[in-house]
Amino acid sequence: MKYNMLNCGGCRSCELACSFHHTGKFEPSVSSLIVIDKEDLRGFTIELLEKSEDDRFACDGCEGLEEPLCIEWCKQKDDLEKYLADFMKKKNKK
Amino acid sequence: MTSDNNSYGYAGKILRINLSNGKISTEQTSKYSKEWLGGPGIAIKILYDEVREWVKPFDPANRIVFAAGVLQGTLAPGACKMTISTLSPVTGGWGTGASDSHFGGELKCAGYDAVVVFGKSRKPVYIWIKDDKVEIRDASNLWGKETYETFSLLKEEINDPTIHALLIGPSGENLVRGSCVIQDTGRAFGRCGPGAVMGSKNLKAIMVKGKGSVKMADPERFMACAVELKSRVPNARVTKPLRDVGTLGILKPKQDVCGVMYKNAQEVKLPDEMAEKIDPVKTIKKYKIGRKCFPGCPIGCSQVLHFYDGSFKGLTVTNNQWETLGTLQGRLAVEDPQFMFGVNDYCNKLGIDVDFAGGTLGWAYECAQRGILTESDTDGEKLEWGNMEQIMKWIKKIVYREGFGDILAEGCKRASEKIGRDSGYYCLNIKGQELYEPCRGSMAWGLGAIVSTRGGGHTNSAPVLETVGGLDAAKMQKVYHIEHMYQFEPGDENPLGYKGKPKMVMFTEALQRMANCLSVCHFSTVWFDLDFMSLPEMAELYSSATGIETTENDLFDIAMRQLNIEKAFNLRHTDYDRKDDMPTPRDLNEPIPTGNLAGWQIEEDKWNKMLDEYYEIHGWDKKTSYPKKEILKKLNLEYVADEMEMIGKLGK
Repeated sequence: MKYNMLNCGGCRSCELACSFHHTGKFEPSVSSLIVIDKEDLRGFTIELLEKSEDDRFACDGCEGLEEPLCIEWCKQKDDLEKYLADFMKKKNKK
Repeated sequence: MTSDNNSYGYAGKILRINLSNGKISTEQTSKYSKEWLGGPGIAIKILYDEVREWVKPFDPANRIVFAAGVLQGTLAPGACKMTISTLSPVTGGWGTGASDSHFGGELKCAGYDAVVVFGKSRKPVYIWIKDDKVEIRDASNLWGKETYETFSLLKEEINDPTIHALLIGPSGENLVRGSCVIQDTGRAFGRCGPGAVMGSKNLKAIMVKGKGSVKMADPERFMACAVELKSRVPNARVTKPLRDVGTLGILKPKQDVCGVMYKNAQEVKLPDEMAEKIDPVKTIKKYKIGRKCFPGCPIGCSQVLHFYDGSFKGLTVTNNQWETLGTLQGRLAVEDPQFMFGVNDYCNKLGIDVDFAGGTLGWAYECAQRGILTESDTDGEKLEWGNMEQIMKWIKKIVYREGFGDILAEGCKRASEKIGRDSGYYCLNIKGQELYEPCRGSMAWGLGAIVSTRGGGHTNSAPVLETVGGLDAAKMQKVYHIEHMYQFEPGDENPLGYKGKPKMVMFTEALQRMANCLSVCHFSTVWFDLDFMSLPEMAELYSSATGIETTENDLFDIAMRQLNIEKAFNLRHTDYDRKDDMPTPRDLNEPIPTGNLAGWQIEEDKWNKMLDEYYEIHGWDKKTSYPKKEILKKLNLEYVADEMEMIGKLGK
């Protein structure tokens, strides 16, 4: 699922945090969340993975944690929080 | 997966590429990492060992080291800087430049802490690193192209929109000495001319993609420290201003301490009317459309602007930081508020360092003002302060070495030597590097910027907080290990004094070196805000990341080892000594003309006493500045002492 995050500066800290949640290492290539540069300099696209694919893990919403790690490390957490809530709602419906 | 499984914090390997014969090899980072930390720490050791005295910057035998820091690719707050180091074509000695980077973390995920490039390719090439697959590819079709265009063509060729690259523009190809290396589209490894060294090797770009990871020796301990440091950010003094406008917000305080160049530092404060007119805070507010930030950074100091009107109508850019305002806009007296953003972007596209361009043009424009350079020198054109179109044209002439631009492309020191006519007085340089700030008034700042081993500049020795008012005095003294508060308050004599300043500079030397080695941005350390990390927190991050238990004192010693070998590298390659640790003739001889500090002037005997103390606390010879045997021995640098003795440059 993709979200257009206008406020995102593309720091990709969320990818580092997400991979740390899954593997205990900083390994952005396995992150459930992908920051994609739209190349128009107006924010970034955030993709959240419903299912595991290739080396990447599916997003589990950081089950068991008070605050998902990607949100904890995001500087624009209000936006990301909304997207993640929407993602989890749609994912659980399926 | 290529990361060395036994390596923590570090990726584990260093990649070596010989462009003369195309040979590619690797070595273990652990060969260096016991005595040297990552980034510039490992780089200076490699350069000292391998770049001998007969090597010149543009010789194939010169090395250029692209190095990630130890904490890069992790969530340590602000750990987003990487460095490029080489024998500098600007100073002739130690050259290193840092920049925010996605590249460094990606490089570590590919399995490498650093890439050492040497030799010279016969035709233009780029290097493509994908984990353990490393290729040297033809770049003939890219040669001559500007950086942004090169980046977009390379992304197409590799067919990956998420890729990151380090590139040079026409400036580096044409061996303009102050050429920078650009990351992607807009961040520059600016100073010391690394872009020209890439150009001399026919190396257009390096691209990297890694599928590995950066592992922590003790993940829980590391994260606990990182989370605690991050928690200090939201309420810190500098966070909001940095988030809103980056370092462009410091114009007002810089004006208060007479720290802004105007007309090549004839004045060190902009006329109030001009300062009001160019106020970058207003420009950012008006044109901001987005944000830009780098991995692990808890602050985020860049904005994306789109100019829908004005001189640069249609341009979309990431904002520049302070330097372009100081070194191009103020120095050349340009009053169009969009100029700093437009010219910064233009320099980045061409791959020329903004400070080099500003320093060199500042010298030329002042020489024209004084009749030293006439229209017959400057291709039939009269140089006029503040003429924006003319300045842009001359930047292009420097980059393409056209007409008088060919002389300016050598930098202001070499250009002034070539022109003569007493023009050297107006060439503001330290150790051959264009100085981008006044060094009058705040003496720790001045001393730090001037003694810097890479030539004039504030990023490896100068304590900025000396000039900031309203700080917690007790905290400042504790953090900087000083007995008195030396910090600016209007009407206060302290920042103008000389006492205690060498100690402040020495601490800053250690702090900024360790920040660069660990890849932590200076804005995330006590260099910029007393609430942020200092050496103790860096030691905790380093220990938990690498599993090598390291204390604050260990880091201080490692930093001093690095400083001493940088100094020795300069002594081997240049004639720099005490005379090169003196302010420019202008800073030394002219009182501050206007502003809060009007009338104040450096007193040479006091400067000399301060310099004596600086050498003394470092264990260096007061007469020559050469390190003494005792200090080199204490820092495990006996082999450096032996060489210094052999070339007659061991302190007595």
